Amino acid sequence: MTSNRPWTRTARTRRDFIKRIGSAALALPFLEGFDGQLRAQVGNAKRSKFIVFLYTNDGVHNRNFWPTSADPTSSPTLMSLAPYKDKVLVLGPKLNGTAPMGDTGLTYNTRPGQHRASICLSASRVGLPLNDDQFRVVNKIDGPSIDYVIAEALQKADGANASLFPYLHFGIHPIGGDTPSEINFDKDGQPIPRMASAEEVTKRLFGATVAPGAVDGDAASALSEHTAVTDFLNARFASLKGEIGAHDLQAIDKHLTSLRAFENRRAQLLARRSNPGAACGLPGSAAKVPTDETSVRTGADTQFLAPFFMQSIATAFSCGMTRVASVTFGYPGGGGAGGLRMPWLGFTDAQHSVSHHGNGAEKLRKYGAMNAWTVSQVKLLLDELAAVPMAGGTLLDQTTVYLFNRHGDGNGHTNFALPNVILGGTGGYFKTGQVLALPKTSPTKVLISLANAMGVDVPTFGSGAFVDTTPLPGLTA
Amino acid sequence: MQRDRQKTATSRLKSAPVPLLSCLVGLLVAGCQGSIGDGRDRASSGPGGGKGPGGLPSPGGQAPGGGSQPQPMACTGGKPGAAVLRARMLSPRQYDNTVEDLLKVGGNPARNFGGGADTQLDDLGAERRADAAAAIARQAVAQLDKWSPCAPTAADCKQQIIDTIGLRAFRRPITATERMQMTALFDAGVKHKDFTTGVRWFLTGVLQSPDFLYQFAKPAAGDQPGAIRAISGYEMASRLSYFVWDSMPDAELFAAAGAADGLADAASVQKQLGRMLQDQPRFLRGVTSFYSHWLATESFGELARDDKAFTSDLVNALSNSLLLSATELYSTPAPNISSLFSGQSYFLNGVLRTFYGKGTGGADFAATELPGEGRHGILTHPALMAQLARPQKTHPINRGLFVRGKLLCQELHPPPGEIEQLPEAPVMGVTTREEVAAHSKNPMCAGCHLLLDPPGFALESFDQVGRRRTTENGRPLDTAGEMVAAGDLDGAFAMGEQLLGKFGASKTVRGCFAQEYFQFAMTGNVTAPVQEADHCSVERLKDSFAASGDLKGLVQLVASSDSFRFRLSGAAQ
Repeated sequence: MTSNRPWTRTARTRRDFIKRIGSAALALPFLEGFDGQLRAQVGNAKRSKFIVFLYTNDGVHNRNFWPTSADPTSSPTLMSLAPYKDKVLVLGPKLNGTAPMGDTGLTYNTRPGQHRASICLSASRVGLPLNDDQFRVVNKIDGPSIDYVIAEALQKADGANASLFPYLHFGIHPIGGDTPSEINFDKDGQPIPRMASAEEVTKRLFGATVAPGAVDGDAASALSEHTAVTDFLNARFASLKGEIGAHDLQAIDKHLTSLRAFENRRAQLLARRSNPGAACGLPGSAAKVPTDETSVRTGADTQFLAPFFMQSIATAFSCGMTRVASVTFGYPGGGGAGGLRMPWLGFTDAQHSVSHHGNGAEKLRKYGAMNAWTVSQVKLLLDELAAVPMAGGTLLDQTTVYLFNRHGDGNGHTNFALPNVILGGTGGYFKTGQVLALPKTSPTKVLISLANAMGVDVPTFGSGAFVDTTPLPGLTA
Repeated sequence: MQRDRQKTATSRLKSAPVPLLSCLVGLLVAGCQGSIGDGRDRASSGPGGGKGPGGLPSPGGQAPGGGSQPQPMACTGGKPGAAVLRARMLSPRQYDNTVEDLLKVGGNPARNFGGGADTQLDDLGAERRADAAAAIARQAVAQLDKWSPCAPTAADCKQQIIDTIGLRAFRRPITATERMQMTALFDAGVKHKDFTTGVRWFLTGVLQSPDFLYQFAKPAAGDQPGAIRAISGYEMASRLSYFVWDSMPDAELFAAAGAADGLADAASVQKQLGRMLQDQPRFLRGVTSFYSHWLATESFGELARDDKAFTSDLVNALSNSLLLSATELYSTPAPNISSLFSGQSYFLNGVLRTFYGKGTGGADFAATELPGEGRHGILTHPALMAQLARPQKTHPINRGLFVRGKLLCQELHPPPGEIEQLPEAPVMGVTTREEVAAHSKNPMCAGCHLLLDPPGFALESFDQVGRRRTTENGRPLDTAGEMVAAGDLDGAFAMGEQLLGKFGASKTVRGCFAQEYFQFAMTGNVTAPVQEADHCSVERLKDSFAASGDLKGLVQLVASSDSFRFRLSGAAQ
């Protein structure tokens, strides 16, 4: 296998996979204790090895979304997941016909400001501002999101076998309109940037070592350069530490930590590239992503960007690049553009615009189509994961996917009956293939459950009114 | 800065000067009826400051719930007020400008950096900067003649490059240790391949150095905790150049910084300022940086309208036109803020002239009159009107927020969840104003809409693509209203134009604008809260600018302020 060979399903065998992944992702169950609140779950308990967080916004077409039978895919929106119905767990509310009953299901017990994506994985009481300039403002909250907690715990537990990236976050049109779409936050509550273009993903995950047009583009040469520059930068940071004040030292320390994480990872990638047999290739779908200005501005690129991101996640998992990933579909709320757009569906309306459908037939039709397309991308991710053999099964069997939304009903942007779904084999942790009819339930409980599914014990999570200390009962197999 | 942000995270929730807010149809009623307007956070108690009549906010005020009320500060005599300075990372725009000045490499290599001056890097940020540095270095070595002080064949060229580029990149003379470190990196590249490789590796490393990426304010020997000291020398040179030019110092500024007591006194700073303001291309770069931030022009990348003629070319042209129309004013001998908010001439190119029915033309932008449309300078620029709208109709609430947030420095609570939404599509026989007005009767929404709706309605003569209109959905427009809690803008107006005509001369607006320019200089963020230590500097600035409206003078006033020229010893933190 060469480093630039398109990664196709048929090319993969179990032997290939084991060869590529080595022991990096096979280190579970965790044997070492974690710092602070994070502790290993020891024993033979069923655990998921990989997790993907998929964020959508502005609620859903309520009457199309909820399954009306025991089959979790028995709804117009979720029906494309039918091949995986035994791997779908709908965290549903109590229904009255096809409509959720008020204050049932996953419900915020106080009303956060609308659109605030930040609360979804952080359960933070801090609501980010409606920004005037999302390109510059730092949207800080008061603690980490659950994906970060999980990723950090896995990195520590995996030790020398830790994956190259603690996490990989992807954003489909992550910035625009009037409201931040950030869902990932580090331990200081700083937002974690996402990769938002095929170019960046290609460079970072697959061709990361040498940018196009490099003068001496071979990996060995690049590794020499990388080492020399790294030595220089380490010396510069070391010199600087004695010259600056305490607060600046904190910022510089964080910069240095980030730089080292990047440098170490790149060094490993370069070493891998020197050994082509161990490399993982770029999904062929990368080449299909349009990058022209009009496609980007109108959102036409989304149709190709989303599949590429989904395939990249499957590749990253199978190749030991990471165990934690996320994708944000657009940004919440409106503004000049109004959120995600899907012109290939035959209309240019923005998702936010049709989410407030006012029960108008035309908008409902469009909204339903947009919701269904988003779910089709979830299906695509499941397909990709299911195509990778692993441990007598597939990568999908070892993966947990959490599809979540900030709001419930799109029209009212409600804070109850959040249309959240757990998918995948989850390592056998969750009892999938069912539809729950939950009473009023804190979404924070699900976050704790997801951490537990990954072998991470989280005694308490969230802040303010959103704190919780226990997982959601009755979810496990 | 980060620590401050953490402390004020809750109060920042109230910051809603949002040009693109779509769902803001019900700001918390408490936010607009309570004890707002104390001037604690974003503003100081300038003209009209304090609580307004009936508990309404006053200019420079904020929504309640932000904590204790500060005591007014006396601003006479005593030692200069100044804050502890933090390291500031170059903004993407500053990075691009610096690379262009340093190595003559353009192309906006920092376009995907994201974040701002107080961003802390994660490893993706570090990776983006590493990739940019490598790409810039590759371009730079392909054009050595454009920036290198010597020909590669010269015997001491390596040392010349290290000394010259080292000083300019770090914006100060390099130490012996730094020279040694740079030489080691350079030599490693030469050994690996050749001289050009040495240059390339050297540049790749330098461009990722913290010394390049940050503006530092390092503690000086003998600094006492709590002491106020003047910023001078190379630190002041960088401070000036990044504020006025949005880029690194030039040779003359470096020379002034290196002189004995360089830039330590107000006179030497003023001397350099006078020269810098005459360097029109660089000064415009600095001014453009402010307006780009103030007008959020980067958000145009996602702007869409339900109009096939609203193409990417048009959107790009709108963004450029908005910036040009704001900044070309600075090419005149005495630019005044009154001109910014008046006049009906805008810089349009052929694409825009065609779209707005003003003839045709090529790619170049030229001053174009839009007579008889009730335009009032930048506030009614077609681009701004389009930006503050929705895909199918206008957005009076967004426009009202722009006026309250950006022109009056007022902060309002965001709306709660689960509120009635306004129709997104046009409704025949109903105007957008009527929809908003009906919604505003909701007691939960009424408080804030009392503030937002009048300025928003005053702009209803401009549709969602910024065209002039007199009717909507078959109904005549009503642009009348009454401003409250808006300082000298208070009062009823029979039609929007009457209100729009008051902005240029408004001392309230000028005070807010001065504060925002100051905050941009100090933090890179126009809506950042004013620190207590900066209170007196801001008050003096607002008073002076309210009287003059002199835009170039404002730059000088900011650079002459105590907050700009002095710092509190970092050892006190």
